[in-house]
Amino acid sequence: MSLIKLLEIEKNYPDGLGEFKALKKVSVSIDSGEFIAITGPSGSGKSTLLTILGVLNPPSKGQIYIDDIDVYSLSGDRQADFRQTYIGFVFQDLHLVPYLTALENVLLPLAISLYPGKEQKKMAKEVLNRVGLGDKYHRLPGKLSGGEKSRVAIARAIVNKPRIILADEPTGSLDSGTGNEIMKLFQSLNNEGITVILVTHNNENKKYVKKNFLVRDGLIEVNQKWV
Amino acid sequence: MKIETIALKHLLRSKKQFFILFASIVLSMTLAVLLFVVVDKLKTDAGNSFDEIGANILVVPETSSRDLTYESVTAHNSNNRGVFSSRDYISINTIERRDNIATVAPKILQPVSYQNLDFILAGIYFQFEKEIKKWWRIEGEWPFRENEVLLGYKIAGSLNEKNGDELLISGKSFLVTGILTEQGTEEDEIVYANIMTVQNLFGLEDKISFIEVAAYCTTCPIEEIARQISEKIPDASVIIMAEAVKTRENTIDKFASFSIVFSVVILILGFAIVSLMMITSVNHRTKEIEILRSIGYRKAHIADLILVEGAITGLLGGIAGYLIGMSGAVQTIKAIMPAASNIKWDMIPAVYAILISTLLGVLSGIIPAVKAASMEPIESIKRI
Ligand SMILES: Nc1ncnc2c1ncn2[C@@H]1O[C@H](COP(=O)(O)OP(=O)(O)OP(=O)(O)O)[C@@H](O)[C@H]1O
Ligand SMILES: [Mg+2]
Repeated sequence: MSLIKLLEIEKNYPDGLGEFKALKKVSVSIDSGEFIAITGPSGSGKSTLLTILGVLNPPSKGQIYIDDIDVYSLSGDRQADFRQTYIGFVFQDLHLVPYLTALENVLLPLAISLYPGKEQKKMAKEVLNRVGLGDKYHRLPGKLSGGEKSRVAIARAIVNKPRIILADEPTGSLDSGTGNEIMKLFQSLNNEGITVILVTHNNENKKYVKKNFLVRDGLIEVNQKWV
Repeated sequence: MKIETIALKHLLRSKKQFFILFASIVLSMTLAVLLFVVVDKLKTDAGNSFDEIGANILVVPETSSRDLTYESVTAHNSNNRGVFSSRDYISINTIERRDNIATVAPKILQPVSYQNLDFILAGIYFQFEKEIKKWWRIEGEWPFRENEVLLGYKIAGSLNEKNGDELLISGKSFLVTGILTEQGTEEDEIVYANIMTVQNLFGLEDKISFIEVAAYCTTCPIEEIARQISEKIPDASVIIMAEAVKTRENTIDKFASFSIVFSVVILILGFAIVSLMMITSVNHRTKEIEILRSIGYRKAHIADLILVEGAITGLLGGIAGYLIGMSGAVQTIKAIMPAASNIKWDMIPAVYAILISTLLGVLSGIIPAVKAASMEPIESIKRI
């Protein structure tokens, strides 16, 4: 049963006087529980694809259904609600809110939820413990290492128990040891049934993923193996 | 955690930015409070000092003919013309609004002749008249003994009397101690003597022709005082001297509009400055706002975040601004009006000041909040 369905998705960006076709009629479907790496040369449209999947970037043409919901036909508020419940994003290190501690950053998605304060804290601490930051609740991002920041970002992405995790080059700026730790974390989340989709350039990440989308020239090639 | 918590954390942890916002609100609130309180004090004192200038209520008998008149009150040529009694005059000081009454000046009028001239002899309490006729200038001295008189400017000329001269009225000899400078009114034609002397001389014990009342009316409508006096003295017409009231109200109005206009201008400037600073702040927080949007914050959540920051800053700035502004006002009043009473630190103006300041913070946050809410989530992801 497919969780995500893309039907003839096109994305054009304005480019000078004309348009630049970043994605050209992409149709693909993703099952629940998959672990997908999006790879391809720079400028091929990987981030574009990821943001379209994340209900952040409306396609120029085509439809995308997630859990049978035509997500881009929803109102702006409902799209926000959808992101809150279905999707966890992992950004690179700079995407933590600088004036909030690790714990408070993880609490961000819960601040707009109906969970009472105590419950929120319990949930946030649980995920921080899980990513190995049980002793750094009250650190500001400026005082965390690159790997620690990635962990906080992951904790923030999963605290709402989303069904899909999207990550854009989560290991891009990390050394290979730390990168592997982070990939193992994604793997264990995937083992719990969460669908994980990440953009990566790193060949080392081959061993963790189950499927590979090779984006080239605005088109997608689906491979069971990394190419 | 709640959105308010995020707002508070942002304010507390970006101290420099918060301090600048806070300082602007404190500054504009301080100025507004200072100006408002000082002008309000000036206004009250101007109102009071105007009341001290003269009578603003006239209590006269209900009927009158047109013989010899003084302040439109007729001196009847019969023997029981004093319509009011001392009791009536004392009862004025028992009205509910008695605290607003500054001076009650009763008078008895008696037509007399001397050297073939007809004129009015007015029996007055000199000490009360002094209070009520602050503008009177006298050559010589105010009388104070029972046989001393004060002459109007014209009558002094007609009778050819000077200070120290004697005057024989109805068989009693009076000593002229002072002559009133020219007033251009009936007052110039009148001879003023001690009220009790006049009452005794003409068998009018306990009788009063009319009463002038000076009331402080900055804190109450003069109409109400007049009404309360008529209740106490039913057979009197109580006349409000409209001219006096109008002039006083004009003075007050000028002061009031001055302070309101300037306070409002200062608050608008504060609003503009705080708005601009918050817009700058929002522009620096683009990335943060887009992250929040991408993890499910609605536009309204983002707007809330900014508005709450405005409200918190406004609330704290209001408290500080009120305290500083009031202290400044106390010092200013001490410096410019050493004789004035102290300014009161009341709860209600404080609450108003803080409410206005909080509102100022929220209003200043509206444009920045709309701007923040309109940011699209995609921007933050673009460069991942
Ligand atoms: N907002 C935008 N406006 C105009 N052009 C854009 C915009 N975003 C992306 N593009 C263009 O679309 C193409 C695909 O961009 P995208 O970011 O998806 O590439 P990518 O595969 O993620 O590249 P990289 O590996 O360098 O991150 C690029 O040529 C890029 O210049
Ligand atoms: Mg990219």
